[in-house]
Amino acid sequence: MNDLLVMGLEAAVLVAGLAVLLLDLWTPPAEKRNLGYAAAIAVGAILLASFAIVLPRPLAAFGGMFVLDEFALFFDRFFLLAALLVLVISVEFADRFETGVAEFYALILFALAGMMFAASANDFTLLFVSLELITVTFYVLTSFQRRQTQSLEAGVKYLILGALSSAFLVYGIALIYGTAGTMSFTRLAEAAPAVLDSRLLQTGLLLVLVGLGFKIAVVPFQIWAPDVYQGAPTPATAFLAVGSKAAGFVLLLRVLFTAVPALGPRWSRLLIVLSAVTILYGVLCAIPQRNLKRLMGYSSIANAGFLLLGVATLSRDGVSAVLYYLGGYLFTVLGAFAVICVALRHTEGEDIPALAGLHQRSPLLAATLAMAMVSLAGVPPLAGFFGKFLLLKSALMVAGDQPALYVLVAVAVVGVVISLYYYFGVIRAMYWPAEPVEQGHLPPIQLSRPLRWSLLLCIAGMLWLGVLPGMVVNLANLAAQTLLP
Amino acid sequence: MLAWTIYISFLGAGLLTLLPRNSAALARRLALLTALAGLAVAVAGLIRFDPAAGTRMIADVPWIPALHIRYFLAADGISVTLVLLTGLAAVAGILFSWNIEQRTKEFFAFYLALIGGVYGVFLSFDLFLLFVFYEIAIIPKYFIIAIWGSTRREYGAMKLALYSFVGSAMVLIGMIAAFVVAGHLTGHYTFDLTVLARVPFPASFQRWAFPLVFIGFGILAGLWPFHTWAPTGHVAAPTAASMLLAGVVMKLGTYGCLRVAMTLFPAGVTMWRTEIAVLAVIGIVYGAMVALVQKDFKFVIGYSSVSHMGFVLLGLVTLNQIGLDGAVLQMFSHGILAGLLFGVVGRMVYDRTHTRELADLETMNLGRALPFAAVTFVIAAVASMGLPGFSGFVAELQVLVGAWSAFPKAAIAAGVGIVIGVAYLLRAVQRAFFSDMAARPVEAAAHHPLPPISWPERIGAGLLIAASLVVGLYPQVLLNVISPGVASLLEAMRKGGAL
Amino acid sequence: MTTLQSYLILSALLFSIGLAGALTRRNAILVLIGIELMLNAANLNFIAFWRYGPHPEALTGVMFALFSIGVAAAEAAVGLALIIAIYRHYKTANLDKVTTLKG
Repeated sequence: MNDLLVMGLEAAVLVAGLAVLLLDLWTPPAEKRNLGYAAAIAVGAILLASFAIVLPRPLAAFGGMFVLDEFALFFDRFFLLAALLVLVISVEFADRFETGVAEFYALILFALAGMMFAASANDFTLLFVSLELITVTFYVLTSFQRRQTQSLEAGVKYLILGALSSAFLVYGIALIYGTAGTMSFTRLAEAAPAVLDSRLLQTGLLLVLVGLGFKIAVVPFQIWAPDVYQGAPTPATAFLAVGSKAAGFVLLLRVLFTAVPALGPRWSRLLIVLSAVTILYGVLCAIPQRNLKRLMGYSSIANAGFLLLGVATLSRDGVSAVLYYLGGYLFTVLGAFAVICVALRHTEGEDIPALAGLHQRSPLLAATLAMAMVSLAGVPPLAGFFGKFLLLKSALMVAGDQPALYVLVAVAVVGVVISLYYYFGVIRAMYWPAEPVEQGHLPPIQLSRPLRWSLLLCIAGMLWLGVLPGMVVNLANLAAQTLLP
Repeated sequence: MLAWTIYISFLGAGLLTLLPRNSAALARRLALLTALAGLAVAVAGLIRFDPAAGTRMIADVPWIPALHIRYFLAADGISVTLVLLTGLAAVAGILFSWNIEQRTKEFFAFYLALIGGVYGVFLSFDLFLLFVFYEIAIIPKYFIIAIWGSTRREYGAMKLALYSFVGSAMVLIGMIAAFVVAGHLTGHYTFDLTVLARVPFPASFQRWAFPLVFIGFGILAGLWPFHTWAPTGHVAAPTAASMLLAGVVMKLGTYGCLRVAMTLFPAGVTMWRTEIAVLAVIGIVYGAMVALVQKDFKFVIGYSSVSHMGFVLLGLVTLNQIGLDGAVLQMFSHGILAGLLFGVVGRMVYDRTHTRELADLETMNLGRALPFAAVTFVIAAVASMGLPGFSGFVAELQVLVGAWSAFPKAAIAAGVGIVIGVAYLLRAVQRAFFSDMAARPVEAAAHHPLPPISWPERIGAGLLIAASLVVGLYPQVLLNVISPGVASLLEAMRKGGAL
Repeated sequence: MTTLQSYLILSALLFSIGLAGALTRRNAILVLIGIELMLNAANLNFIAFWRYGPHPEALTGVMFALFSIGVAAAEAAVGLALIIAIYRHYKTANLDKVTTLKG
């Protein structure tokens, strides 16, 4: 089959991105922000088209560098849905950019293309290129409000640490290439045990893990996350939290389970330790935060730890749980950031007390944020609970062979209980603030129709994945099966 | 049919959120109607329940087939009794919170959601489903206390929420572990309680799984030394919430201990029952002694709950028919009486006098100013002391008899607890309502007569007193359904290696 | 010592020098230069592994080096633009002074 056809979804996204840039030339300035809706419609159409794809067997392109299997398809849909919601949020944010609104939309589409390439990467070359496509795009997205010192500072911090981590990544890939003589995941998996045992290859893999660990904000490569989450424009933060993190996990899963499945058991102890430390760091540092976006930054670190728990099980159940958790995370986090984007626009900073009285200004915004917090806290019947349940279940299923997992499960549960404190704090700030606000200070917030639908979609998603998880569990199982047959 | 208690409650909660903003009167009526409908279903369920037929299936459909999780509702005699208790407490609680003016519809929406969750726990026979309902019941509780509460409400609410979640986290781990171990053993993964109860879990596993789950549920039941959330939570909560907390929510804990921890891990019970009996007795005596020295009226009742729940826990680990019968009956009895006591203290007294300090109440001559409240409290107090004729007597007597054969020393200590219970209740009655100091005329009280006791309060109090009297005078009405349920649980536990 | 080994040692040295520069320098431009050095060390590795590896006829190593150079250029372009913007606001490129975000 034609190689370009196999990567049709990615190509369509790239074309959409270029089209947005071109359309920008003929769009009058007043209409430019509506290009975001055009981009969102295009992404929605591609998302629908992705459901027309039937894969009796995995397809490969470019000499096996690019694969399209159920696993890739699951993540393609995930990224498309995330981008769709992020674009709607961006339109709400657009008036805060002085210029270049269309470029912002186009960059989101390019980052989306990078994520989708990452989902299909079966070769260290494509891994590197897709990762850099995401990262470099995000440098720009992060510092897009270029008159705001916060945004610039976030951008430069992300850039320095990101560039540093990609230097490690490239060096690591070089070592792997040098030892194994190949960069293809499939061929690396067939390499002789002696090759896999070589110290050089192990070092190379470790350096690759550093690069990926940076993307998913796992301790000790998490330092950038709170600053960047706080300083970046809210839509960029939202996409960073969902898309970029998921892209990191997609690559981590591919490397661990396709490229070096034989080395998995050797890494499990390291993964368990990283997961435990990341969870504890995230929840403990989140407690004193006052800025909501910063709080979400620490929360995203803790969630990276939970996701890593699923990876550390090295089992199909664990992978499936990771996929499910990410699905719930998408609706939850994007819902929260949509609210942050709209509700906190007129206040100085994004401090939590500024949420006071939100339920009177817009019940829908308050309800969405409250549900997002409850879901993040892992309370049924919302998505976050079932995701955490699956993760813990997958860990206990294999804990007999790897007793360190028992400790990790205990740590994770402690983390969940601590996290309740600050998630409930956000809800409390909305509904019953410490200092009551006067009625006159609470103008109602008008929501645009697309935003209203997006919020409802997020709520529906959180409920759907929490109450009727069956269908997504099956999808996740199917995707995990292609990775771990 | 009993499943409708769940659906009605959630439906009522949903309808309430749809009401327009300023519709307090409508919200109250709708909430009362919903609770009454739930109570009617619960009563009908009790009447139509056939004890000889064993556990009655209500609904069983696949929910999450990939994990063999089912939406499995069923009821045995224990469930039916506790569903009835929930119905009674729900109606009484709404009657006692008729005066809530601030965000009325939200209050009752949370209230009914909590009730729905509680019904769900008592009727779930799938462990996962039970856990989900259990968690659903915790969230509204936090909101009710944090928004409508009084003394240090945020502290009380957060403490309660954190304690509850620590408990449920322990239960969650134990539950998944049971699922996994049972699956490895039998090759069949399930959360079905009736199936899990027949799985011969290895003793080494039960040794840690049982205390994990039992204490996890026990935290919510006020098991000493994890009880400290209870007094602060009760005091911070608005009246209706304290009534539900003490009346129903703490029962979720003991119910979980019985239905999950003890049924699944019978060998674990045998290993740990002495330790638990000791903790239960400490709770009984400690709760009573602390209640004896409290200055705040509501703290007296809060600690008395810890003491009375100790009897339930003691009854559970006797592992004999009469002790377990007593424990279940005590859950019912304490639910009714604690609700009544909190209703008097929180609604009848505090909402009128705006103080709960016994020292202040002494000067107010409440026995004369609020005769109805005084009489109700005296009735509730003597019933709670265990006076024959009321439900408390039958229940605690059975627990003591059961404990006498299992742990004689514990039975004696618990008897001491009863005596102290008489003392703190008499002290509270005397200081709050019939103090000598009240003979002195107090200016403030004379000039601002307290509002009279309203009809909803009278009806609510009457309902609870009647329930306690009926069960006290004719305990067979409940024992007839409880005993067969307890007997079959005990039988299963014996087969599973208890004793 | 084979030729390959000497190249590898050179590249490891380059990488370490770059890393040391990136970690110790406070000036953003010098930090970027350090990172570029690290990337180039990796590129040198690719070329050396390709040239002295078992399959010099397969151009994988060169291809990756080219990609890597391209990406590094993009990174540098974005990075310098950012640093200029930072310099306009703070009148300094010293990273220690750019600290409004913390907590």
